[in-house]
Amino acid sequence: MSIGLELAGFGLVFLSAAMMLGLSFLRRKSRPVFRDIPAFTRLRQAVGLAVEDGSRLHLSLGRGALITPQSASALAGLALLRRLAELTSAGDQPPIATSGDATLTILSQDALQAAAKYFDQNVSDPMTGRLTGLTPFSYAAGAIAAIRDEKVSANILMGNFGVEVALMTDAVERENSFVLAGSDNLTAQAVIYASAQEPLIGEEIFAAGAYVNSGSMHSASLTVQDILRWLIIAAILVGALLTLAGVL
Amino acid sequence: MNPRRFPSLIAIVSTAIAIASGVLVLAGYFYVQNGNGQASLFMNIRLTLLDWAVILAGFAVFIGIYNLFQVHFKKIKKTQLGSLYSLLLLISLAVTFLLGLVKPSLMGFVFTTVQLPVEASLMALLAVTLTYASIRLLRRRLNLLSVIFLVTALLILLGTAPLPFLGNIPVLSDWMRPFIAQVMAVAGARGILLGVALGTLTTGLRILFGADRPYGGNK
Amino acid sequence: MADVLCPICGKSNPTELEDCQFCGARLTPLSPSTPSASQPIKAGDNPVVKKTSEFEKVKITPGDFVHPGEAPTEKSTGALESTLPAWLRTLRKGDDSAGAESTPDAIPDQSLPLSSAPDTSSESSDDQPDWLTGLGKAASDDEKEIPDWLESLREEKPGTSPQEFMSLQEPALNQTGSLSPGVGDAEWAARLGSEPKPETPETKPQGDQQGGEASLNWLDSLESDSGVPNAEGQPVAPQDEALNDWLSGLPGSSEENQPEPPREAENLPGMLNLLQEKTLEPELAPLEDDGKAADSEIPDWLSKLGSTPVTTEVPGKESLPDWLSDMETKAGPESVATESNFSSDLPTPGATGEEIPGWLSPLPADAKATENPVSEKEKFDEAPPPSAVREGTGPMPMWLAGIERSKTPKDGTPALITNDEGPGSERNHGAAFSLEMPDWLSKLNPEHASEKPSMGITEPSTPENLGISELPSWVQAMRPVESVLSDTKITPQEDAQVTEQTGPLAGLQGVLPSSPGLGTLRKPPAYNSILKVTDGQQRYTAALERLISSETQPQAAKRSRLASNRLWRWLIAFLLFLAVGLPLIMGIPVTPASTLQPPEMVSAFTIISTLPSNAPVLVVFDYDPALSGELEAAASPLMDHLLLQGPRLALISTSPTGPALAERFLHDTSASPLVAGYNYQPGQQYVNLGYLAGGPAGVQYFANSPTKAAQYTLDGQPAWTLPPLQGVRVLSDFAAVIVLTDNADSGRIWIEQAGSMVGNSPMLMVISAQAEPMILPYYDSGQIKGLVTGLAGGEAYGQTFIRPDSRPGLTERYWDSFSVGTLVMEILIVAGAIWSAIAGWRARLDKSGEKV
Repeated sequence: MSIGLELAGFGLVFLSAAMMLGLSFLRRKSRPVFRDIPAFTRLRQAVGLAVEDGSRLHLSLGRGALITPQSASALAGLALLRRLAELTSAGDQPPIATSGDATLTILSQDALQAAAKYFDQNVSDPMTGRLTGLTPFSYAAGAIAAIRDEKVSANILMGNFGVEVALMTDAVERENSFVLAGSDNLTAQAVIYASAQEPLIGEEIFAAGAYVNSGSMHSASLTVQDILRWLIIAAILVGALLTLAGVL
Repeated sequence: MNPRRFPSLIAIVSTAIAIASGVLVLAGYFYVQNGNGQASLFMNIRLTLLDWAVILAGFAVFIGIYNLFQVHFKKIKKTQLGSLYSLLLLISLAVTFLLGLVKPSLMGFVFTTVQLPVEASLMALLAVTLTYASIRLLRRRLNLLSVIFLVTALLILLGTAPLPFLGNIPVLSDWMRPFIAQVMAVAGARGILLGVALGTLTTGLRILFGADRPYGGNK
Repeated sequence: MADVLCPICGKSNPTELEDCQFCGARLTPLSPSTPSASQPIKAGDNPVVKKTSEFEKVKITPGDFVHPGEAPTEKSTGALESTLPAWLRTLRKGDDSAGAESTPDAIPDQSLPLSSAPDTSSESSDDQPDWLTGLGKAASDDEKEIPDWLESLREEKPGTSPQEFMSLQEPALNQTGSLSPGVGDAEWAARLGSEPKPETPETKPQGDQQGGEASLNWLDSLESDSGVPNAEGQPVAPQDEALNDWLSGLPGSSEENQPEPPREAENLPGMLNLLQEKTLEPELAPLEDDGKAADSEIPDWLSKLGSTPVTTEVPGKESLPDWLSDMETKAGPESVATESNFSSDLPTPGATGEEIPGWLSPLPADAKATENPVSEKEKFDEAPPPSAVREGTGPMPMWLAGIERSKTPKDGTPALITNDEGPGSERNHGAAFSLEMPDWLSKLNPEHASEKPSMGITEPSTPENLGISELPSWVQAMRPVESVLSDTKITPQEDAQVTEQTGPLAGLQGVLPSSPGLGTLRKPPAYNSILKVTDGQQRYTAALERLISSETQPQAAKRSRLASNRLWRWLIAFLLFLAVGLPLIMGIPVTPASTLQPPEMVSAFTIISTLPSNAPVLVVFDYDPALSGELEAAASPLMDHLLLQGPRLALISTSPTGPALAERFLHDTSASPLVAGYNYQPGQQYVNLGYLAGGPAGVQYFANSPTKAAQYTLDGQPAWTLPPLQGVRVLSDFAAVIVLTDNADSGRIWIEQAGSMVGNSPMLMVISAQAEPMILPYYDSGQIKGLVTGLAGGEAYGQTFIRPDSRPGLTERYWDSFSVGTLVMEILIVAGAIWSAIAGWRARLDKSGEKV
């Protein structure tokens, strides 16, 4: 890696961190306004219905291992899991989390227990955080069993998936329950768009925390993403123009 | 002690370790070499931490398998729905484990005769599922984007596979499909991946700041 | 007025009618020659109205009658002195001594209203009737010190005629007596709350602060408690004690909000029991523990208790406390009238404390004695343990608290429709109704309502020391209206120990003389307090009950499954299976070979062709078993081509199943005939380095130092000492790196982490078709040198590379099935999408049509 790329990378990270900290401080004083994403609106309704009718939520975190770049989507899913566990703490049953990676399973159990402790509840049920399989389709098959047999009324598929996510969305449709699905995998996104009731496109999965009011830092990070996106657009345009001009 | 106000010592320690590890790995990524060209201290720390992470990930597999055993054992114990399948799973798990210990050469046989056909069948089932999903798409969301989605999928299919007795379709196979797959799709994919990368960046920063603590720390 | 107003329901009736045409109540008093007049009233008998005015020296005219809400008539207590009956004078004497014993030094605040003593709430002294204490205090009040509630009383019209009195009560009777729809019972309570209420000045602010909330609290407590045991009929107690008790049970007495133990209630004379039963018996039971609370927490409605004579209902109030529902239907008019009579018959205020007549002077002291918390505590100790529901309830009207100990007489004729048997009795009452009724409706059991006429029973009693004397006006005012209006003659009573069962003396035994000449108790009019619930109302009630009950019942989450979709899935699966299976089975080529020659495939072919013999090649198997069909078919031409070069192979995988897939690929003749034909042996021609953990980090580690990252083969041998890896120490020592992957992320990891370490060695990839958009740019950028994409790419490679033996590989065998299956899928999608679009459009039209 050249020095220039290192400096650019470091500058990007430092700028993002500074903006996140500053914006998170400002966000505490003002209520952020987001564009409407119907999937999250319906997610809130589904969470409320799940609490009302005593059913449970199912959040599938995918197969993105922590030591891979795909862990970011899984971490976003974990933040959403934590928040949903808090939101449904008044319900009869805690949400269940399925994953295709062992580290995610451990973290999902930890997130559920932390949410339970936050509300002075004692939840140490291993059934709530499960490893359903180590290969994509064995993971999907195990998650389908959870979708079918666990009195689930709302499913959130958020993480790193492959084409196997189509089996899960199909199982949800057979159960006639709610599904919100998003992935950082492009193939999975295409499949989700065709098969899921509420698909999340692109980086919308990273906005989930902000849309469920997980904290000011989530709102700030969403704003930082927008700012950086515009900066990248500007950089691409400038770079293309300079290339056309023969400067670069 | 109210956990909402007073996080436990474990939470504090785990948060501190997580933040420190993240910062060190990040520093090792940007500060690779010393002035004399050797690997920097941060680089060495980064590699060491990554080694530890790999080892921990390997142990996590055992924990995950134990969790798998626990879940299905409980389902059998409570005679929940699907407990018969859980019983089959546990039996298969035990048999495979014993075979791996006693006669590892049979593991390939088990793999090729059980796991591979099952997963391949699930993949084949995906063809049915995706076909049905495509059929249902316009009923679920009848809009322009859905129509574009379906038309694009059809063009790719027609351009990829030759028609029986006709072969490749001119223009579509040698121009349209490559244009869609290698220009349009790649352009869109790059844009999406840039957004995903930005999301990944901010997600990582949230963890570095301790705002997200998926390792059980209180908020 | 040509019509006669019914004293019960308040509706007008023709004068010729004796009974109300609406409620059946007696409109005119019965004649003294009633057969039952000379007989003691027994259980189940019709009560007889007995005129008591005959033995009262003070003649009360209708104009003298004081009605609820009227201002008290200013009277000199000296005039009352002569009107006091002998038994009261005797009582006063006794009070002198008793009061001297129990009265504290401090005399109650002279400015206290009439019934302020109860609010102080300590137990009324054993020898001083509380109502007398209030009387004494009122008599001693100075005109300037008249409290607000008395001022409000004076604003009302005094001396209302009986008809006017009834007309005043008419709204209440119409609304509460019949519980007409749309009128809430809380309104009744609200109006009741405006009546004059005994209240201590120090407690009033609290009551004001609490306001309606406090009243609701104690209403809740009333509603929640119905299980207080009722005292059975008691033998006649000694008069002093009996007087204390029955007087304490009177509304407005100082003990009304005292927690009274059941034992004391049992000592009540029967007439008081009846009185209590006929008024507010079951509802007051829970109040016994609230006596103390009432001392300091008097709600507003209590402070205003005397200002409104009638009880009305607050519209919109949905829930009605049980005791209120009972009270309003049965005892509302009477109790209110009685309450107002207490205030209206007050002696003329204006006399200072020194001017209090002697007979009244000890009364305030006794009233003060009731504030003694110690005696109050004793009462609490004797009381049954309070239920949890009662704890913390709001203040309780004192005039209700004194009645709570009353019980249903043994004769089985409860005067009130009450719920004094607790929840269990509620169930029994509910059984009498065919429909499920709310609690407040179920308490209005017709069974009880039918017993209502007995509440007017007035039986003679001959207490030993009860002299025949004139009743004071305030006592007269306490009598039932019909007794005042009756002009029947008095007939002697035979039974001297009969308990009074109606009027203010109800429950007292032997209070009124029954000697000959005192007049005949007549049968009171039948108070029809049956809740007039029409069939339609009952239907509405039942419907509401069903509606509410269905809401409270947990419902299982809907688990409807889309069964119709299964048919479509089966149909699609069958067609696809047919399209893919038939070409495989029949073996008839129907699809021409691919004529496409993608440049990336050509590049890969060129690189493989130029590999030196016996060169070390790293092959990465990074695909899952599910996609092995596509990857093996796509890779088999390239691998066959590679094996023709005779390379030494090193196999590795970042997928746990990769090593097994690699072994299978090398030995499965159906996958790659040439490779299998060469019969590569592990450790000789190839080494399987197994699973490389760590994802990108592992790949990077392997790329940096492969000998450390993967030291051993799959079977545990040191890999880098084996012949296939001789001379290989770094990644660039491999002649080529070929990555077989189905995942764009996995391919990208290898490109990004190991691409810079391969040096001049080419990196080739065989990928699934789904990864093409993400991997192809790396070919364009030169990071990978060749690329074979999916089955089509494999077919193109196969058309380029001609096997020496011309045996078809997997790609060729799959080609026809791939082509036909894809075509069928396209047809299904097009047809199905059109059908779905039409169906969805029609569904939206139907939905919009329904909305219109």
